[in-house]
Amino acid sequence: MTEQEHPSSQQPQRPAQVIIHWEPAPERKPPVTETGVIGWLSKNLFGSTGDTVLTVISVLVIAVMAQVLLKWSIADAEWTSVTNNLRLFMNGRYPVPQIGRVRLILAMLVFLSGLTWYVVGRVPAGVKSKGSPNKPLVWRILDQMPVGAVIVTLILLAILYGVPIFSNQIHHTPTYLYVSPTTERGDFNVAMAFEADDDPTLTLFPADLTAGIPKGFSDTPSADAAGQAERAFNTYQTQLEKSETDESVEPPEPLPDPDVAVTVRVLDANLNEVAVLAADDQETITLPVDIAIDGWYLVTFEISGEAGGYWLEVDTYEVFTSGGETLAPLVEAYGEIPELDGERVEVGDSGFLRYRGSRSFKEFSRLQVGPFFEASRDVVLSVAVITAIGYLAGMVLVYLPKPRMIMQYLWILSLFATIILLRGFNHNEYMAVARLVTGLALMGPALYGYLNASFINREGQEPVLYLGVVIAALAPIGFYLISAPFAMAMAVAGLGVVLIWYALDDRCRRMYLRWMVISLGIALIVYLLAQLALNSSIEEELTFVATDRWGGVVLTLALAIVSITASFPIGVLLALGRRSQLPVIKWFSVGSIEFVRGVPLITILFMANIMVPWISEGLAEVDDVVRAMVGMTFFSAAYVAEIVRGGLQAVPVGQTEAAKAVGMSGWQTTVYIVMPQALRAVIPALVGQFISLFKDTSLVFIIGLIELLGVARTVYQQAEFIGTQKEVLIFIGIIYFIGSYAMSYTSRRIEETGSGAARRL
Amino acid sequence: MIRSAMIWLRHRDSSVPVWRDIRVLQLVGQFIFALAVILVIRELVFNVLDSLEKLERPSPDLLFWDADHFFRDPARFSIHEGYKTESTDPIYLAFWAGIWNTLRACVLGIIISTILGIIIGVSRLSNNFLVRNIAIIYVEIFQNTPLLVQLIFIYQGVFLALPLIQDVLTFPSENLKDGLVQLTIIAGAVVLAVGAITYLRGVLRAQNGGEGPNSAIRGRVILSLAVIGIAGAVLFVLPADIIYLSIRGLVIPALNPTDSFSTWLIFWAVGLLAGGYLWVTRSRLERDTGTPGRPWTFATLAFVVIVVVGWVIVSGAPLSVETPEPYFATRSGGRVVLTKIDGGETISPEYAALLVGLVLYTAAFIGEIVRAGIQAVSYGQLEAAYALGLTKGETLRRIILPQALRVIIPPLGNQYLNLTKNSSLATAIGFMDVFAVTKTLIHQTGRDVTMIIAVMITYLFFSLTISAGMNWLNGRMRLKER
Repeated sequence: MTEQEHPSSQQPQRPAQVIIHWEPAPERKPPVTETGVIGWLSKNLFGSTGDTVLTVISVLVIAVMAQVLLKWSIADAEWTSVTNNLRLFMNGRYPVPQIGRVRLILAMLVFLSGLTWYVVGRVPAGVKSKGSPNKPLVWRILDQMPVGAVIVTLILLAILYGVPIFSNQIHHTPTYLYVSPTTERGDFNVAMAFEADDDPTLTLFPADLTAGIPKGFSDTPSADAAGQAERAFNTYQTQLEKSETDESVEPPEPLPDPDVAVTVRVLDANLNEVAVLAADDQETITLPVDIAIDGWYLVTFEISGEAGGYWLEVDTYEVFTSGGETLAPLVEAYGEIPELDGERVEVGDSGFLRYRGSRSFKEFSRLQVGPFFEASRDVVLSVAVITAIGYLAGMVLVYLPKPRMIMQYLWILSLFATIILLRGFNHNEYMAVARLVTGLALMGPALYGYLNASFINREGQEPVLYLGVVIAALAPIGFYLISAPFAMAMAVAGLGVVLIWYALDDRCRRMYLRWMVISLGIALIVYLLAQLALNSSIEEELTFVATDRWGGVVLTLALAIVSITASFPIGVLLALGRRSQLPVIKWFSVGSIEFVRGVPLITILFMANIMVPWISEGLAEVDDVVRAMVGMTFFSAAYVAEIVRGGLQAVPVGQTEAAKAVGMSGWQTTVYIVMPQALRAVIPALVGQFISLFKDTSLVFIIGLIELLGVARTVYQQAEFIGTQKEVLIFIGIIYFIGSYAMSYTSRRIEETGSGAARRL
Repeated sequence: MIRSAMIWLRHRDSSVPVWRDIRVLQLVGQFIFALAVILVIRELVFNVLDSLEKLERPSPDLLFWDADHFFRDPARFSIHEGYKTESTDPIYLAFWAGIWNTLRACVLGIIISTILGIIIGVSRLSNNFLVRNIAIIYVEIFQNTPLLVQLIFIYQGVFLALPLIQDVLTFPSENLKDGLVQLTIIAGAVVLAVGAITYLRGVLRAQNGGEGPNSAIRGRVILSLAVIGIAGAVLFVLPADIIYLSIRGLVIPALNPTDSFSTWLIFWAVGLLAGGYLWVTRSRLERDTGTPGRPWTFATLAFVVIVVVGWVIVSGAPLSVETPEPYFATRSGGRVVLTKIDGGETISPEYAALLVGLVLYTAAFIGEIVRAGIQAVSYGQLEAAYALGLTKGETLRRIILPQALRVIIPPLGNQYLNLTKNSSLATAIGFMDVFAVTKTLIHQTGRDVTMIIAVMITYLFFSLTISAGMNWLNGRMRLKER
């Protein structure tokens, strides 16, 4: 196309000469406002006038909130209410000697999480195995390491271990004791447990109450001597001020001059003197005590005089709370507290005194951060190591056939192991469960054969098949209920097996045989384990721990896991029922789902709590925890049902029709065609429901269980931690946050990397 | 029924044996299922009744309308907020007070959390980095921690940490008032200056052959000045120290209806009717002829005029303002201490904590719903709207919102349901909602089963009402298909 033919002839006339530049225009830098920091700023923060205003407001809001939060958490918050009670938050009132079991459970779950992390991330569903390794192991480990996670963990560990080492000032809150002749306790003695490397420093310094309680420490609000003395001084001060301005007010009587002499002795368990500290005449005396062996030490006081008092500061004194149970490990380690003159000596308790007023950042890190780091660093290290081991195990696992399936079975096994470890091993209970497993093992193959073969049995033998299934499955259960001899149950069940065998045709017999072998194998293993357990001392090792001793994170997790696991099958059944063509089943499902969804969880928990014992005499013994589990299961089942129903509706009708066209039965269509697609489609919604169930476990607090929130309440109601609601609630909020966020993160990972169907749908 | 069974029997395919006939199997199966359900329920109910008898507890009594039902006994405890009851009032009044308190929390909670949720949802899609991330952090924090923990934190950590009644905080102080008035004056001046500069720039542009001053500027400046002026005037007239905040709650001036209130209410009704009529006719005019009908302007004007005329006509003010007054008591030693606030409307810390907790929690979820709804509208719609020359506001109103609402409404209804049910957590912070009243009544009367059934019926009623409302709304918003 030439210049003349160009249609835009209305443009002003061009000059005759046309100069064409062949060299390209010099490259110019993009404007400063479009690239780099300035470009980012102008795009993301100062795009328009309104944007700028929003940015300014946001910055102001962030600044104010950050300032308030930092100031509060450094200067005013009492984080020792958290650090001193970490075990309480973790285990509640779980018996102290048995705590190892809880740790074992956590280790197992953490290990499995590490394993799952690798397997889910690397192996798509349906892949049988990863093939043979052809590269050196070290190279593969390095190649497949989650670099980001490892770096973050290493940095975290470096901080946790490094900070206490580099600032050796960090230690527990020193204990302060007020020593005064006016103390109601009079001559009092205190027992303390020291370890050999504790080497505490004792300091006696005069209590100058005219300046308020020194060092910013105060007693609990109860009438402690120091508080009384301070209040007396304050009253004196106000009256003095008033008398100076108001002539009608009499000046107060002058306060007595301090006159007190104190002798402090530290005795070891054999009542030998380890150190002596004596002070009179208002002086400060410091004495490092050399502790030779771990054990109990007694601190005795001799006080004489009329007025005034001393503070005894005991630094590097292991902090423990006034609860009787926290004493148990110390008594176990060092024996009973030695008696002095035939009298029991009270345990020195840091609860006497609490930090009061604002503190500097240095003191914040010394008194609040340090103990927390010390308490948590070993936990974090163990979790990191066990996760890594699980991750490595995952690398090995993917070379086995069907790694995902093995992983799923490991998770299911871990559930049983968790229950046994947490509750304790009871042989009779175990046998009862074993019998039920046998019954199901006999029923399972029959149902499986029925489901897959669906009437491809021998012509006209259906009644025999049904009869066989009923006898095979119900015989062990029925005999278990009337507690007849086990051999008789097995004999009758055998009859059922023979009947089923007779009714099936050749193809089904093969399938039946295969599943029979697998199920009986499972049953046999269960029995062998039972026999093994009978001959070992496992029943004494894993003593029974009643559910009312469960608490803290343990109880929260137990509630969540049990109700999630139990509510899922019920929910699926309800969803299928709601979609059923049969009116009775449909309306039963609709009624129960809508009823449960229409009322708050708390009313259901309340109802379960009150009414379960009345339903049957056998249930009268059921404890609160199980009642809560029942209530939460039914509540959650209704929501799961609605979610699964949504998934069922999302499966195109063509799928069902195609399944019917190839001759699948109704159950086959449901189990093999509709359900997998429906469930994959609703994974995110299901996880959302399980997250909200996890959060809803906090509601059992209202019916009086001591789960995480219940522990929080018991902590901030302890005399020494009154007024620390915010700290404690923030701490458990963080725990809940980590749990929920981990769940939603996993769900997102499964969606991204998991079964292809989840992505397609 | 029998007849159809007979027909079915006669036409049955006799080659299929009975135990394989699917219809027989279905019928028998359903029958057995129904029988099993009925038997189990019967067993449960009888067991519960037996146990109650054994424990010598009164059996459940669901005939609430009966003259000698225990709902007519005195409640023996009083409720101090909302619909206030005395301890001599019958139980049903106490229960009603609980329902009223739940309603108070839920209705206000739903309204505020919707507004906040929309703000959060839009902020999550903002171009502004800070705004977007603040919204994300807000949503993550509030979605991933339990509501109960949040409620207790807000109650114990915020509202119970307010100053004691002696050190009550008062708003607005004289200084604050003066400051705010000065701020409005400055804001007015800035608006005026900006408007003038923009106008002058337009004039200059016009002289150089460009576009003249934007005609919309004048309207906007006048509107802004009017708003700022009214705000300044209100602040100036407002008396100081009328709001008191302490651990006992927030005390604000109360508006009490006077004798002429009912007369004035008639004017309100007339105003609403007239406004509605004008809105309908003017929108129809706009639709039919295409001339701008300004339906909202006409409707608002008519309403305001009629209400103001009503105010003038009825003798005296229809509402009297009762400002709270601090009450000082003299203690021993001549100390004068503020001991209580008289008059005004008190918002208890429990109510405030419940409302704030519910709103913050639900708004996080509503924010996510709103975001998903807006993101569900395809970008092409937006581009098409701009290509047609629609302004930003018109695009939002006519293109994005109608399509987004279709996605938003069903989950939004679920959130309203959740909020209503979650309000029962009020019992953990001592607010007397219907569940807390029920708990108290169970302790007082020992009638657990009856009370639990009553409270469940109440919540079912709430839930069904909200479901019905949201279904109706959903039906209206849905795309009309074949």
